[in-house]
Amino acid sequence: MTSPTASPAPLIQTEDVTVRYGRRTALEGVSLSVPAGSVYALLGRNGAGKSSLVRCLLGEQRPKTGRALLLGKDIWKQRASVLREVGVVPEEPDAPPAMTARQLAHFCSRLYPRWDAEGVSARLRRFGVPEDVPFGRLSKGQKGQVALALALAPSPRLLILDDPTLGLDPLARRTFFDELIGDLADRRTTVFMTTHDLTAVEGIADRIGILQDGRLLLDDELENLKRRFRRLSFPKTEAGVPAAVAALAPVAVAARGWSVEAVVSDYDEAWLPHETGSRVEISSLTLEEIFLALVGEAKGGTV
Amino acid sequence: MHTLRIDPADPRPIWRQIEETVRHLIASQSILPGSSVPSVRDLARELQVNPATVSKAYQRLTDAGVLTVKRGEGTFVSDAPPALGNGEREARLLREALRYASLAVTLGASQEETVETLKAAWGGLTSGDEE
Amino acid sequence: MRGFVAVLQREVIERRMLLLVAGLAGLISLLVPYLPGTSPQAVEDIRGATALVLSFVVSVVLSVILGGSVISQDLAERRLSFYFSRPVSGPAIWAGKMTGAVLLVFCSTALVFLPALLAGSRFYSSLFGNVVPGRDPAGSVFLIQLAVGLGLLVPFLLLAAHAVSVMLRARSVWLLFDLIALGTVAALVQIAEGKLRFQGALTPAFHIVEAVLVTTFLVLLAASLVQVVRSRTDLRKSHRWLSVTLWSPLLVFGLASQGYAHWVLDISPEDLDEISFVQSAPVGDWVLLGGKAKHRGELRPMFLWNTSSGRSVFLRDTYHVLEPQIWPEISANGRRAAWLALLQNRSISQFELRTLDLTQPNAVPVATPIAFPSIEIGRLKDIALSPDGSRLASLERARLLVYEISTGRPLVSLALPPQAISRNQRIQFLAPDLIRLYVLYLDSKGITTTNIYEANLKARKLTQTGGSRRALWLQGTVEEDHERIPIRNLNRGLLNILDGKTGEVLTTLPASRLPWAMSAPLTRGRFAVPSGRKGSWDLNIFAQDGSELRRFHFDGVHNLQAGPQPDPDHLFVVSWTGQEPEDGQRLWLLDLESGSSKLLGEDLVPAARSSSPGSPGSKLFRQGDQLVRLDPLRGEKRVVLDLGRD
Repeated sequence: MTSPTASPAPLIQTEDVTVRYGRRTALEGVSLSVPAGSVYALLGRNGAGKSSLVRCLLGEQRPKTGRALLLGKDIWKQRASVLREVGVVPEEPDAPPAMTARQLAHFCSRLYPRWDAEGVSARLRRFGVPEDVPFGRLSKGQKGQVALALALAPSPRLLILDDPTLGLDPLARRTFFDELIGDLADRRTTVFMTTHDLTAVEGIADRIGILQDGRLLLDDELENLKRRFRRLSFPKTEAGVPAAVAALAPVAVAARGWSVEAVVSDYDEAWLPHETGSRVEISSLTLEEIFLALVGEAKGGTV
Repeated sequence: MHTLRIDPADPRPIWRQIEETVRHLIASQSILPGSSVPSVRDLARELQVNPATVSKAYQRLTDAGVLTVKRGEGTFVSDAPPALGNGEREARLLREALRYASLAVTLGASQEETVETLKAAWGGLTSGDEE
Repeated sequence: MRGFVAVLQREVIERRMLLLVAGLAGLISLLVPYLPGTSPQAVEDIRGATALVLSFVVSVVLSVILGGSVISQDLAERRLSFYFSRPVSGPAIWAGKMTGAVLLVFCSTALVFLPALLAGSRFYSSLFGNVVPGRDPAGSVFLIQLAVGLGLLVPFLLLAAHAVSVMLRARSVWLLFDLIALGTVAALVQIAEGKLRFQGALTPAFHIVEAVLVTTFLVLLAASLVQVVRSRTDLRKSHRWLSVTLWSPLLVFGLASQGYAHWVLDISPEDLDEISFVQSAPVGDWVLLGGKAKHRGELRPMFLWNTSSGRSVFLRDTYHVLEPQIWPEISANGRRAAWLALLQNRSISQFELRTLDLTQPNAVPVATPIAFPSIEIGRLKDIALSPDGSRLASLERARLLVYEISTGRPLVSLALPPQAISRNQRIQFLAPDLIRLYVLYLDSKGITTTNIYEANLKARKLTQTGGSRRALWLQGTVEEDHERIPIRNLNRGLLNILDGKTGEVLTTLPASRLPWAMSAPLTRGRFAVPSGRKGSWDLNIFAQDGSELRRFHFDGVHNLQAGPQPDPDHLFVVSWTGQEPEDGQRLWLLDLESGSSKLLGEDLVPAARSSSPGSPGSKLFRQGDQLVRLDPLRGEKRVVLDLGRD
């Protein structure tokens, strides 16, 4: 599928990345790309391999096969130069506990080509985070806010956020996304984030990837997902799943009382329920429901 | 700004939801011509959505003439109703009608019922009540 | 570079409290002297010593603590990603942290030391020469040495602590591999070093120790860097990379040190490039040979060498020899050799007696149960082998001891009378149960006397058999035939022949006044005595009763030396035209019966220090870089050892 005009190179591209820890396979042949200007959300259950992938993207882990490219360069080999344009908010706060936010900002300012010191202070003020308290004594939410402020300060082209709202209270979460959206509005930063917070991401992400047992189950635009996933509800019959439903690529089928619910992934607007000869209820799904259908227990199509 | 919410279960793209809600609000006179609409940044933050999405909606509305951008001042509801070419307007109406009709058939509604409901909605709009 | 500096600064700033604590610790040394119970005069010394000790302790402790945490703590607590998710390179992270730690240790040490230094101290001025270079060069040098030593110790400890810390924190099974590798390397190195030391090759042994330290330092450096650059934030992987990079070169080094030790000790006379001495056995083909070895540093090996079979046995290194007078002994029957070799047995250095059976073609040195602690070596004056080689007599300042070599059992112990105790003592077995003891004794009037004793081992009695007020004989060698001892009386140009047992003068012979003219005893009681002056020398042959038998005249020579006898009727003589050993050496063969002399060659000198007539040693000569075997009576000349060839 070639377009007449060359689209700009994706800011992140993984090529068949495989990661193994001893006998355990954390990632298997993961190939995804994050186009410039997009917000990519990687979803997956705990242990699906998200953290491993983020480590590969940050050049902390060398894939057994394949490679991870950030801004067009192999991140393992050129980590220090590539990260000059990348802001990172890690899952676990890893700043030295003894350093204050001010000291952290000062330290980081020397590493990047651009640094908005005013912006950092303004953000911390907005967040209500004191600049002279040691990092270790801040609350979890405050730590995340400091991390975000530090990540945004070098005006990066790419933001990598590893479960940034994990463990944050609703207000902190809201504040976090406010800040992120504000930055997106101002600078059209490309964002790659892993998250469990599907409801928050629903509005912000424009591409979704779902990782399961180290494999990329799905990598698509959110709009597409919304368009093609539907829940079909029909009465239970001995015939099982009607052929017409089966043609829509069901991903999860479950019995609910007297009816059967099938989540299909290939729904077509033009499909008409009267082909089945019985009444079918069609409903659309939230991102969370899509996710659960794909990685939950009732997947595979058993009744 | 009157309630503008995004429905996560709605299969329509968010920008479409925004666009159509704005149209709905304008059509129901909840927002008057000439009044300002929130900036892309502010609306994105309020809705907690990607600014690009808001931007796209606004762009389409601006292209359609529903909204007007005044340099340095912001975005406003256009004073005059959008001027659409006849063909375009009709095509649009037909498309949406087909949609509504499909939905009604799906739900097993009769044509009569469908038309009645449509009339009621129209009435509700023009009378100023929210649906 | 910016990243390196930023990381470095950050490390130092975070731990700035250490510097404060160090400064306070420095004050301790100012206060300690004022504790109750210290004398006022000692204040300066106590202050100085306390500061020195404290700063050393501080530097060691800090090195270990910082080394064990600067990188590994962040790694274990998953905070190293703070650096790795930022544009600072792996090497910069490593270098910044390590350098920061080193700086902290140095600054803290200096802070502990500073107050006492500023307060001034006689202790330091005596130790460091007032810290002003030039004032006391030796002191300043010591200060510099101390600083350099500390400067190397601190990074070493830091790196070692880091490695150990990573291994422990990773809690993986690899730790087992580390322990095994450590044990293997340590064993390999220790065995190699021990082997060298055991054989007395102390310099090569020391080289191994030096090399171990240097290699370990470099390998620790490399391993920590590789670990950070390759394994980044993964703790387990860090441990693996660290271990592999650490142990691979060290294991290779361990094997190399084994190879080195083997190569050093696999030495034969062909590996010499200089011969220092040759001494032949009384009987048989064996010769004691020593010199400087090629390519082995200062190793000066000593060999027992069989001149006919060419077999050589490495005895020990003589470079670090502690007791040069205790020369290896070969028994009178030429069947056994015995020597002292250094044996390091835990904390006490010992010299043990080793023997070699010269009759067996494939014999190897055998350790005997007889040993002397090295601190007593200064008191050990001489050893002697019984004629059949089964017993060893040792002369320690106050006692004569005889051991049975095979069991190490002391057989006889005789106390020496006061006049028999002196710096200069020598023993010789005359018969299996008879030992003669010569003692050079300085009496209360300052006159040297030679006392002669005999020890009867069966009767366990030591009796004085005679003495003489002549001296100087002990600076030469006691001649083979102990019944006649030539003593020179320089003042009167005479050579007195004394009876070996009683010390009575048997004959007096005319001799040269020149101190370097040495006489030689010949077979059948004869003596060869050189006499003459510059340009004109004679070699006189005297009979046992002192009558002159022959006179050989040499013109144009500056010195003569009568050498060994190839057989009872001939005599080798070396002449020189100048005072230096190289000046115009010529070797002559004198026919004692006919009185004729024949020039055999130039630059030929007898190799062996003393050889019995007709023995193979008597036919060994040095010519330039070669050792040649010369049998002029059969017209044979053969190069036995060519050192010029590589």
